[in-house]
Amino acid sequence: MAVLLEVTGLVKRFGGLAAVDGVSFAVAEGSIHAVIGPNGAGKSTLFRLLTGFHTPTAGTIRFAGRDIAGLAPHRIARLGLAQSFQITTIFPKLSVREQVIFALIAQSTASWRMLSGFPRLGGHRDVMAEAEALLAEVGLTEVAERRAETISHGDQRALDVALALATRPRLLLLDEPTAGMSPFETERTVTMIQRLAGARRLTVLFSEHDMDVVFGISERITVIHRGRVIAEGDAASVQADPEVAEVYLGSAA
Amino acid sequence: MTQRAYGGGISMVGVGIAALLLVAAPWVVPTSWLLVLENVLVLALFATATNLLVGWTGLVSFGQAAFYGIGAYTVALAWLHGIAPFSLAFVAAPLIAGLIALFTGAIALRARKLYFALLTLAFSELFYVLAEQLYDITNGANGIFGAMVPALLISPRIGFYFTLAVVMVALLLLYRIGHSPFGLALQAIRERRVRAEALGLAVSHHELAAFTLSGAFCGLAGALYVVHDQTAYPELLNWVKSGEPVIVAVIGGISSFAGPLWGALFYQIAHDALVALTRDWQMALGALLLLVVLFRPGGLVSLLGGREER
Amino acid sequence: MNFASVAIEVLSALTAAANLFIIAAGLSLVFGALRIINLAHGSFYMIGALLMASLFALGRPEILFWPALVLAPLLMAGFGAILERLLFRRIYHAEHLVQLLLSYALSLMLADLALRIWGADTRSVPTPAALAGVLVVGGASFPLYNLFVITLSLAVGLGLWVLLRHTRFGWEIRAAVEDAEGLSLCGRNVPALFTAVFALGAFLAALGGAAVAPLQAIGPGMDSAILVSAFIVAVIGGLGSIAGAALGAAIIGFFQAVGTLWLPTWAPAFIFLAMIMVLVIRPSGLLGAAQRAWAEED
Repeated sequence: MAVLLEVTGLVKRFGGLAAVDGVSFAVAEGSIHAVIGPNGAGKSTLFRLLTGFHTPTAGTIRFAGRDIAGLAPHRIARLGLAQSFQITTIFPKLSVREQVIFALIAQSTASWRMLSGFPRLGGHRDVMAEAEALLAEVGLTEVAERRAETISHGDQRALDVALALATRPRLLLLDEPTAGMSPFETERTVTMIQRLAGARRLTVLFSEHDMDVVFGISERITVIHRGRVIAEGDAASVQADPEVAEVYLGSAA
Repeated sequence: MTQRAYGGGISMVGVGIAALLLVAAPWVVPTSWLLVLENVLVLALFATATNLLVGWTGLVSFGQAAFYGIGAYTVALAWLHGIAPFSLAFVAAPLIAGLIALFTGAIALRARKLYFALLTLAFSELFYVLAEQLYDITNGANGIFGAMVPALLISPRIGFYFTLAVVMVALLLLYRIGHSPFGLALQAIRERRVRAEALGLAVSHHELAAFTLSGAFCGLAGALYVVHDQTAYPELLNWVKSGEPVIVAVIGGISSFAGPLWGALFYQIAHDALVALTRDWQMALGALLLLVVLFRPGGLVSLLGGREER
Repeated sequence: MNFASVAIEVLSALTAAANLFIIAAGLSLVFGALRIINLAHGSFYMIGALLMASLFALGRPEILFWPALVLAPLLMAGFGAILERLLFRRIYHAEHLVQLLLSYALSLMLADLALRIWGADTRSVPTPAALAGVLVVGGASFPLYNLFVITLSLAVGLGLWVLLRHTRFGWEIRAAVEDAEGLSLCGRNVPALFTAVFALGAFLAALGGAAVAPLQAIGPGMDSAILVSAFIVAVIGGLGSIAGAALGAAIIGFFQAVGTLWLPTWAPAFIFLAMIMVLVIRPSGLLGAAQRAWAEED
């Protein structure tokens, strides 16, 4: 399988402290890849580097054959790297449909149309159709007219993912997608991730604390501790790794 | 397809009635009222243009009077120095104001939130000081008076119709902009800037475009002010003047397009009545603003329809 | 232009800067601790000056000056405490538009109230006899009162430094800025602490007004005139930093002195340009907490 995302020697220092300290790994196109590690391991910083909200101190990030290290967030998004946030990040006062439409046009010149009426969007009937399809795909058709702040937490998470999908990404970055979810909601989310990866041929890179989820769906797992990669492999090999066991037991103690 | 009413206090019937009343006004009401209505129209445009930033994009600018004043001075200076005829100056006013907004916006938008507000305020005061100090060009604190407007427009009825027509076209444009895909992008920026950027929106370019557009329409309002009063003076550019459209928009309701329109009507009439009857205009305005901010953040519009949609 | 006239210009610019420091320090203190921007701060300053004038009207100036200089700011501090309880307390966590508008609304009401109580005429306060003289140095005569205002501002700066760095009150303020919830869990009465900080801010504004009273005409319009200057000083130095307010005042004082001497037309514009440049290059001001307010995101 081709490599979609390749991180080499990535370093991020804040003052003297290296939050990410020489991380290298590769994500294969079409795979579901997990990044795990104890609290404070550097996962969030790593994700912020990948999405352009932090600028790396050193190292390269190659995405689809291009070095994206240090690019502005919206440029990275336009190359096809989308993220869903750890804390649900939607647009509270816009309707569910409005924000899906917005996400669909955010990258295009359509967002510059100042005089064509919304929601007719001038000649953009295809955008409207795409919005409906996306709403159906994540199960939000029923609540499409509601303001996002008024829908349930589970629906908001689904909306969050729908917004990321609307950018037609090649790689979807999920930061702890099941954090704070009930077992039922977790189940729904896991199913959705697997379905998306299959149906859309999407590459998924996610961080997660729930080890059942991690070992259940990941094809490859990268373990990070104190800003460094300490292990990588499939579920079985990571579970068998003594260093990983020590880190997790050590941090639990 | 979305069928939701995007009007929010604006219905086609309401707009029709308002238009009819305004068109009939010169034949029905005394001239003094006509002048009040002209003030309302100019203020409505000023506040709506400002609300493109405050209400739509979530950018609190305390410097829009700079562009209002530049619009006014464009017309006045063109006449004073014989640079251009009124018609040309009037068309140039929003363009020049927009151009200056483009440059000041590029600087001010480097800051966020409170610091953005303070930077716009500083620009407003800077232009105010320049208008006051460059005596040889602007007549300084005295301002510019004179026959800078064609005689035709000074006739109350024709002047009123001219103002009405320009304001209506400008409001229509602003309405379309606010409800276009671009307007949607601005609202997304207001709601969650970081997420809008993560979704691939060129956020800073959109903010700068909004700032430039707002400045241009504020400049147009300033040029209309000159048609109305045939004068331009430094206080048109200072921060107190900059606060006015923000206050009008907040009193009316910043989260709907109609808010600043109602705000302008209410503000101007309350102002004129209180100034004529008592000397407590400031006290009343302060108290009203206080009550709205604390208890009715949706503004007057939220009292009218209860809808806080735009 | 001889030495004497230059020296006098410099002294009067220094006096204005010293007074601005006292006022801006209050603005900055309140912002640093409570995170609110108070557009009514200029009104507190004006009321301080007007109270001073009223206290004077009670009797003989040579006796009344010193008590009035303390009493006027104290009265304003009490009034400030009431305003904090009634109004400002509600908006500590509100968005900045609400803070700006609420305090602006208050400033409008206070301006009207002051007009009602004190009228539209300007008043003057005589210089106390002890400070009415001049100090002659090298052929230039320096009014003693100006020197007094400069000394007062140094005393205020020193007093604030001791208060914030070396007392329990100061420690609690700094702790509250970091973590108000944690401090209240420690059994501290945080709301009362905030009221005290706000009252102190009002005290400083009024002290500035009272101290400047003998130097200028007192009346309507003082409030908005000082507000913009005080903001420029506080912002250039860094909102929340007392030392920054001192630095900002010094910079503005320098610009004013240089401007009035050589470029009277451009002096006011320079000051705004200075503020714009500082905000663009160092958004949190010269001595402000680095990047904090700047990077603030939704």
